[in-house]
Amino acid sequence: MKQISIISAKGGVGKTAITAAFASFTKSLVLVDCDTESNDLRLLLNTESSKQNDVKTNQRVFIQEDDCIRCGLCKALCHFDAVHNDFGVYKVETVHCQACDLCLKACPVSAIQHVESLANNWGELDTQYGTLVYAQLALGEDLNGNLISIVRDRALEIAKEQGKEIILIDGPPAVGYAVASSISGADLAVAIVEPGPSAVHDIHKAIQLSSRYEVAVACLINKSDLNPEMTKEVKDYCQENNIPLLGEIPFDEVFIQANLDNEVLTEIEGSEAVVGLLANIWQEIIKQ
Amino acid sequence: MEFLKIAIAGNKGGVGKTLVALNLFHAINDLSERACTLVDAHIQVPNLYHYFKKLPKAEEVIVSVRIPEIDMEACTFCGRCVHYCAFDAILMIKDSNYIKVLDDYCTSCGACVYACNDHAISERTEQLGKISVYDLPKGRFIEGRMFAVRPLASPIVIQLNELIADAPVCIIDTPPGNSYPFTEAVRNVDFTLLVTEPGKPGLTNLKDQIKILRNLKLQFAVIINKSMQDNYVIKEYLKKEAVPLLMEIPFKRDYAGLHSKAEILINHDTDLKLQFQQLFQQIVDLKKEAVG
Repeated sequence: MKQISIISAKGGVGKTAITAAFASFTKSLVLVDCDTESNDLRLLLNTESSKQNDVKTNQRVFIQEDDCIRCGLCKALCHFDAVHNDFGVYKVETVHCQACDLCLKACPVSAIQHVESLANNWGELDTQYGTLVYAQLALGEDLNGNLISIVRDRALEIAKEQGKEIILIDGPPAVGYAVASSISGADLAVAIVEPGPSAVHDIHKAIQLSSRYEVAVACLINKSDLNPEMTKEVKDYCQENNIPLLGEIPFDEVFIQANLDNEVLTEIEGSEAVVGLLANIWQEIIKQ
Repeated sequence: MEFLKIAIAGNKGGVGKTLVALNLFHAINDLSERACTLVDAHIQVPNLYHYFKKLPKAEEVIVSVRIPEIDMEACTFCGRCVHYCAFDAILMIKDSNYIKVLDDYCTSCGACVYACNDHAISERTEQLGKISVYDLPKGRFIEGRMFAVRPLASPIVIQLNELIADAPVCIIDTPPGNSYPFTEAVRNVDFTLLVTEPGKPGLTNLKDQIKILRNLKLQFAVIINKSMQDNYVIKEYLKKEAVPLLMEIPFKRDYAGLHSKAEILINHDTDLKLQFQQLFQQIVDLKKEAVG
């Protein structure tokens, strides 16, 4: 079995559209959406939501005004600047609270209590290309715990049950914890880059992260003709660092059209050229 | 002169946050005596500096976090720190007198230090990132940057916010998403401009951010970028929700090409420049209305 993660330091380079197109080339895969803040793969594949599994997050706190003796210890102790003195009344700003519970445990009069916890969730859906497992953060939540490990483990189970050979993972943008969890243990990370001014830095960051987690990485350049000089710089960089270049795709408005029509690229009129290139790249990926 | 901190936000990556932030910044700077501050708060992958052809030497501030260290000699293995830690970042095996802080899980909340009655936990500082301040011929550019992959971003964003506290007009480019790094970046702003793409993913992501901003009781409006058609679905939604739509930037290959070459669009399109200047005026007016 092979696990392939699609990543990019910069957002909007075409990760989800390309992931969906790759999925359409094979009949034997399990899909994972690890973009926990922007679950777009299921929108694109037009699947209805299934049963959700909630994963409780740490509980935030609030201060009972009547019990508070205004000693200010909670504000002094908070490392996240989440306790404010609002005209003599101490208040916790829930969105800034990191649920460390220090103030709750330290309060001399037990005036601080938990609020109801938020729930991250994950679920699985049937798409025309195979099962899709997704993870979604509650709004304003940070990625704590093991939400991405849960869905990656579940995808492995499903792949074994169904005898699928490939797990294709749509990663979140940037290079933070969520991306690290999306590539660790994968057989290949496909870093997509567009030739904007930050392109070389972007590919460098993706490679740095992949090597930290000992994942093989290959590069794919999208919108390559927007800035041919930068495309060349990216290619040179890949060559110098022995990063295989999977191919390049010229700028094409079918990507925007696919978004507008909420369709996979292969279903968009006039997408033959792009789809042909992507099909070849997919063959390359399978070979790697 | 108005005091106005405007965050540029977009849940989905690549909708055009950076493009809007840059062009709005230059449009305001070109307007008049205003000196605008541009802030890159996307600290994981700050990209704005690539769009300045020449930057002066920066003044740099290092941002550190405190990571606890346990003195094995002083530790009595009482387990209070383990009990206090909400993130399971302290591993203790009492029977073998073993205790260790797991740095990757530590959020530097300070709970273990507070919990310890034996003065066995001290804190070492570790560099989390830096803030660079560039004084431009007109205006300022401030960038927050994280060095390593760590769970928490807030100390950098908190310091960024302190630095711009007395800046009259600020444009703040925020990280994508709708989680903690985003809510931190908008915590002290006066107005948020939500950038979206047309289509269902764009709208779905927009709704999430609107929900958050409403929870935070922040004022906001929307810009549609890469506009290709009439944007009927988004417009209907915004009308129903009484959210102002301030601008539609058409999808043009020219724009994509110029932006990818680090060119500022408004320097090549005077009509667009005018629109960005009007956009700023609209925000000023909306803000005034809200304040009453």
